Amino acid sequence: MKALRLHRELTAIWRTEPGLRGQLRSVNHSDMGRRFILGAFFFFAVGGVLAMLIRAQLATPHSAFVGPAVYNQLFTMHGSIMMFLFAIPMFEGLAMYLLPKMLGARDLAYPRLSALGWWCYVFGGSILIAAMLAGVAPDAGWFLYPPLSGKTYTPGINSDVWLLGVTFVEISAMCAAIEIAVSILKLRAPGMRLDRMPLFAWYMLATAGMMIFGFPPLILGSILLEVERAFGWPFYAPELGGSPLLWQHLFWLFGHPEVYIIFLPAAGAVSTILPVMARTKILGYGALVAAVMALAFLSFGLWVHHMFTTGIPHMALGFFSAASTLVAIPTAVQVFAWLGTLWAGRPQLKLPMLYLIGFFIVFVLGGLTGVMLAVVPFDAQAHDTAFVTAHLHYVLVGGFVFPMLAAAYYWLPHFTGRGRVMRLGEAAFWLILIGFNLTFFLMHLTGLLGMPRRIDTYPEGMGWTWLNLLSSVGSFLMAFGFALFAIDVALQIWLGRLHKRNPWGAGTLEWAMATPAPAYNFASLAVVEGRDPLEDRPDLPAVLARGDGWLGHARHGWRETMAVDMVSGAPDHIAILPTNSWLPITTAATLGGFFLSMLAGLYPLAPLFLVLVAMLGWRWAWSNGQRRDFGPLPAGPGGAMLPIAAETRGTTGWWGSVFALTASGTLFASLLFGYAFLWTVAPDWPPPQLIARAPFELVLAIAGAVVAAVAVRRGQWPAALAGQGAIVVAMVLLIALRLPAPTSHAYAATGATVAAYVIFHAALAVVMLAFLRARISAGFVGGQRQGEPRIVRLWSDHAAGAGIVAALVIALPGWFA
Amino acid sequence: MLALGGCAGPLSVLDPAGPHAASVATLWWVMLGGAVLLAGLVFALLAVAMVRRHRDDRVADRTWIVGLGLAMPSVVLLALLGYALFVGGRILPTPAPDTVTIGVEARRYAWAFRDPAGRVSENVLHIPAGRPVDLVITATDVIHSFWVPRLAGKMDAIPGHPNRLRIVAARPGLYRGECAEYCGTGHRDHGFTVIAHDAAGWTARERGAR
Amino acid sequence: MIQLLRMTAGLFHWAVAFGVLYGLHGIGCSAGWERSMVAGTSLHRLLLVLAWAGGIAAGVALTRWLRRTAGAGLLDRIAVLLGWVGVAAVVVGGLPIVTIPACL
Repeated sequence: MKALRLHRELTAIWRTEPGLRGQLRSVNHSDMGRRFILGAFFFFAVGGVLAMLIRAQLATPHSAFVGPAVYNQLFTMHGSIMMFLFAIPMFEGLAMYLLPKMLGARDLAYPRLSALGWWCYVFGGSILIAAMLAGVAPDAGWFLYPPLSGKTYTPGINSDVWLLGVTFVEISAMCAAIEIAVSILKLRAPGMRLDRMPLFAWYMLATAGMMIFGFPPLILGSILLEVERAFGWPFYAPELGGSPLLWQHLFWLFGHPEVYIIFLPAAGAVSTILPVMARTKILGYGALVAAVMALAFLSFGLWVHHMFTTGIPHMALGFFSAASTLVAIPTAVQVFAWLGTLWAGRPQLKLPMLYLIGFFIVFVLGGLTGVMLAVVPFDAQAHDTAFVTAHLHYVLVGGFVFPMLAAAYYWLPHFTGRGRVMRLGEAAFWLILIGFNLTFFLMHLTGLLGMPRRIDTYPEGMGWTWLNLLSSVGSFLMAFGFALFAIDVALQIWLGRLHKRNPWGAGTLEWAMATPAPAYNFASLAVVEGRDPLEDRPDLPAVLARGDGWLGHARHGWRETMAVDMVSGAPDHIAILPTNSWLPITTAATLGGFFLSMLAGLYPLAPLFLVLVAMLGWRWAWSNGQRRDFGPLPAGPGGAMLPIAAETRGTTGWWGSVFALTASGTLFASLLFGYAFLWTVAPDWPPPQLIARAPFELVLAIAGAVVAAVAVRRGQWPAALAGQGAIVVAMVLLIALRLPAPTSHAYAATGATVAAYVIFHAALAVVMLAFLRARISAGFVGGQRQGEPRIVRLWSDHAAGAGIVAALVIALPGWFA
Repeated sequence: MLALGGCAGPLSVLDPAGPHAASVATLWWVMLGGAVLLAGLVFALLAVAMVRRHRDDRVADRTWIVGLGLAMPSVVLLALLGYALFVGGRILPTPAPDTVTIGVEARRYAWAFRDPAGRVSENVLHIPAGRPVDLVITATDVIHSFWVPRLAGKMDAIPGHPNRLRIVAARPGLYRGECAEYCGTGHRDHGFTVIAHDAAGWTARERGAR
Repeated sequence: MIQLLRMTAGLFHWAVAFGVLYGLHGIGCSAGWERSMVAGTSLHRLLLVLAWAGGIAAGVALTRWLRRTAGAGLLDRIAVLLGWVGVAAVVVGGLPIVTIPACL
């Protein structure tokens, strides 16, 4: 009876409102997870159709199915969609849906941010699809190498569509990364120490960390290329001191970690599903955690292996070749840990296991060709041929799609609460596996016979004809397999019979709830004492539903969940999460206005949208917090009392700021890397016309930074504001008076961009300081509620630090002139 | 190796016609052999794990993780890395006495080759057989990539970054080359021909230049 | 957080060492250090070897410190293990310094 009452009360607090209004305002992680997964599957289908068109074109020599202009759009969009609109959103969706449930929490750390990410994904993806339907899709390859993607050789908006659309979607990736990292570290069930965490959470923690460091270089590269296209700042133009190689470095600095960013969540799913299928425990939990961490780092030392043929000295290639071979070792540790788990258990060949076998076959082959491509002289032959096409599909389909199919069948009963209808999944498996290998296994040979990538037709007599025909046949088999999979899932959703909970006998917490999941996940939060809490206590679902765990109550209409100590999992405070809101969709739409006005070339209009975004951000932040102290409140069994987030330290808001600034700092570091790279590598550096000496600006910036840093610590907000203002003035003066015109040389363009970065952050700090003053007067800061000044201090310090670095980097060359 | 039939072809990496391409082809066959062995091992272990019934004979965790996961690949990969660095070092354009240097300039969609005497030929590269030829490769518009699969690996032609590639043709003959880096709508037709002359033919060409 | 930083310290160290070697190599090639000879080898290679050896030594010191201060928990054991992984990665990563001409 108590369970039912609790269910009603919590549902009233946590539910998504009915109707369209509710859908537009929802911030619930289960909703967002489902949406991301469905959206990603839609884009997978679109990308798959493009792939079919590519294979239709290549089936025979001299094909006249589509011309090169359309073909170039086809392969560019196929790659871009599969990477940015399918793979990343798919695992984000899975993680958003599963993580809080696996960690025994009620939602993610920033529900509105998940919703913002979703709408950015929808709007950004729509830009790309609309451009494709209008026939102006990007056509410079998914890697968008300048100068080909530059204004001279792509005068239309094709490249702008990619740069703006993908960057828009990446906002959602960055939101998800920060959210996932903080949620894993802070919002877990009491007692869930880090070393008791489900392996999937470890994999996602590594993935999120990699995204925080991996995406900023690409975002920076995209901004620079868009600025070059729109305003003529020559970052990549060799005739004005830029270098096309800078783009390649920035792109692959993202692009290689990206492969592992896609692989790790899938490997996390494997590590979760496989032991359950083998009815045993995973072998080598600690070894797997270590391997995942090693992968996450080492994969940042590989990016140049996409650039082995760009003429970089062989010794430097050797560094990357060595790292590229090393990265295979943690992968091998995982593969053998999984094999050992199967060996020790009693594996059942249920459907998810069948797909895992497909994963093993395809992924291991892809890994082996990956080691081959790490070998510089071999790569010089295989690079940019069909061999690489084959390799990357083995890795991505083997390392991502097969595990995701296994995950789909494994967790589908959780999403639907229903069982399977017909045995279509087995037929789909064989079609996909056979079709895939027919398509791509032969492609290794096609590549070694010299067929380059991205050609729309080919002559006879090269030995490629029969190989291409078989590849095309195979690809259609595979497409039928995926269609069958989609039908199977649809049947289960609509016709499947209601199913008992936890059909696989798993031990993780996501199965300790009703399925489909209630909006609040758990009526009360579990106390975790081992790695398989549900196995340790089979009655856990009933206990939690009765409200006999932590936070088993409804109060003040608050969405409460537990925040714990990062490492020990000891209860720390009560996080109060925001409720349904219009803010995510309006903010995303306003950002969309910015991107569309950039795309349309309405440059004066674009900043207005940014001002609107800042205003929405103000409202967003304003709606957090409390106007009075509540003191410690009852939280757990046995009368345990905990403070709410607003009255404590180390909140999710603080950690989110730390990670956001880490990402921004990475972007700044990438920019400085670009500056140093151009200085050493690009032709005509340094240019004859260096910056004029700028002692005044240098002193002003450093003094402003020092004043800001000191004042923000003493709570002297006007002085802190003045300090940040001084930094802005110094940077504006550097651009306006001292640096040569940014369009004249890459030196001036990079210098101005460094200054612009600081202007952005200092202006942001100014807005935050003003916000803080308003919050203090409105009573949100006071008593125990001192979290917001701490957060503002982080942002202010970052702007001040960047200001000092930028002033030195920009001004010092003036003395060498 | 030509006995393998399917491996021959005008653009085949597996049908080398020069020492550099040959050393890479050998490297490929060695790696293929290793890959077959390793894949066989993994698949065999997977198959046995799925079907075996006697569950008492446990293999120690250490064997899986430290032995198979850590030690075995470390040994294999270190050996491969050493081999790779050795082969990679051997095909570098190190100074050699009888080197011929030729300028290569790629543009959409043609190749211009400038021989030591300053003569420019379009889409046909003349080289002496049996001598090291250093190509200084660049581009005037977008990025291209110079690739003659039967002679050597590829090298990108990047505006503003002249790159040096050493090629050697063992025998006189005709070799096909192509652009390997996507360069726009004419990418598929951005090919060229390499003519390797015997010593007499090359001397005659050089004389003709004067 | 301290625990997580300890856990990944060895890998962070590898990343720094990797960046230093790559950066030093690039600057050296651009500045022509391989043309000035010091003690029978080029200045370029000498500096790279010193940086490589320094990186290994620092990694060993770091890992020994991690081991000395380690508790009994799993995360600390992983920290020490990943410390050695970092050292090994620096050792292997620097092999090209002694086997390949610098700027070709």
